Amino acid sequence: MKKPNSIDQMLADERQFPENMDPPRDLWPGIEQAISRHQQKSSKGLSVNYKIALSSAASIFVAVLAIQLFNPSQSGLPQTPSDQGQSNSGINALVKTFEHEKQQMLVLFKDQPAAINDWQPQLLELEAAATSLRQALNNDPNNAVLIRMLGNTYQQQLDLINRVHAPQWQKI
Amino acid sequence: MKQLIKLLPLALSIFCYQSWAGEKIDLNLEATPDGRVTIDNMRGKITIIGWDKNLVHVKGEIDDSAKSYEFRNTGNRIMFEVEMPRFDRQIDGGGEGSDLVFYIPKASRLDAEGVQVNFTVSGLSGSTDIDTINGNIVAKNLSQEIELRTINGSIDSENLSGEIEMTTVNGSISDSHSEGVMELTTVNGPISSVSSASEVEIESVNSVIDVNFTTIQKLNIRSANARIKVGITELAQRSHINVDSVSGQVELSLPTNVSADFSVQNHAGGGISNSLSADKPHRPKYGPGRSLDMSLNGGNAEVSITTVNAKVSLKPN
Repeated sequence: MKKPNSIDQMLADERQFPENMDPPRDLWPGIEQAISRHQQKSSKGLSVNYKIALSSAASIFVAVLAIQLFNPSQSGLPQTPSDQGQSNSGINALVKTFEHEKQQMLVLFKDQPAAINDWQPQLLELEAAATSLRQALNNDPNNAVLIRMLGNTYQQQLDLINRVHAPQWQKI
Repeated sequence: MKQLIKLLPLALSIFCYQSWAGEKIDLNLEATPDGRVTIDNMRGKITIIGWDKNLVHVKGEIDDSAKSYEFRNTGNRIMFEVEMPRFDRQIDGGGEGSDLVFYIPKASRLDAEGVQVNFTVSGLSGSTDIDTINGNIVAKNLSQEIELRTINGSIDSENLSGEIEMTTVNGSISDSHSEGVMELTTVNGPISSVSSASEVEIESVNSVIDVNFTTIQKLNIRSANARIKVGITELAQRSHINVDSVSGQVELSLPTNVSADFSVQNHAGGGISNSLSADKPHRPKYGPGRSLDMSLNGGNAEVSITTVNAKVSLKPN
């Protein structure tokens, strides 16, 4: 049977070890390579943060769409003023989410040169389209196609901002 | 010694040179018939042609400002890269860009990118992926997965087949005789296509879309401020046509005896004109807009058009 070590024995053993232990070989070159590989990979397309942001925006859009599709007016039940209020708040939430994403992207790319100079007028066109859709939705707040179009118009804005500031060409 | 003999062919398959202004090159490397070929060049004109030989051949002139270039075989991949000096990061650097012609095995999987490069690519049956920022792309006789992207430039394509994706921000897309599944996106540029693609997605802002398809299974158009003109010779069984447009106008021409269910919604101005049948659009009880729901000849296909501030015209071919 193995005899348990006394505390004194354990302390004596511990003193024999050096204060700093070096790994058997230098690991830093490998770590460095792995980091640069990861950076290259993430700079090839959208950044991971923005993929998450865009997918979250898209999922909120789907959720709002689902609310619209299953609301009383779509199911044939009479619509009350509170139903309409709910629809409007759903659309407002969608718009707020996309506007927030857009502002974040604009701030992120603020100091980065764009690949083309005249991308802002195109963004304004898309913003005008979004305004027209919102006006149409004021008259028909439960129209699922209009809500989808509004989501697409916002997505196009995000795509445009990202495309003209694409990291692929910044790295060259 | 045996190890050295084994490594010798590999050592011979690498060309890595310091270059000088306007250097002329004429080089070959053996390649696998369906391997990867990657080309990375910052400025100039690149032509890529598919051929029957298992060889990558490059001929032409390297960029005046290039620091060096590398042409090598890494097993299943041939790589050509022009390295530019760090101070020349600006796109509008001085001197001439590269002017190179590549011949690559036709089943290669091509991946080419540049910043200020005009690409011409033809005769490839493997996948093709072209990326440029300021430059045009001309693509002919390609198949399989095809991705052509530019930011500031036009794309001209002919005889493409497979899964096709073309994107430009500031420029036009002009396509003819393509087939398969196609996705076309522009932000500020017209789109034209005469093709027999079966599934098509088009997205555009501020443009003119003028497309003609022979037999279509699925068509999806999303646009803002665009004039859209679509002609379809035949709708496939249970096909689906969907057009969403904000501002502008939509003109859809279909066969005289078209069998489809139509749902046309026009919000906030514009109007609907129908020459396919005697059906008339309805005004809603409250608010602006028009709508037209009709079923023609058994309603085999489905046509759905939603517009805001855009005029819709339905016409026979």
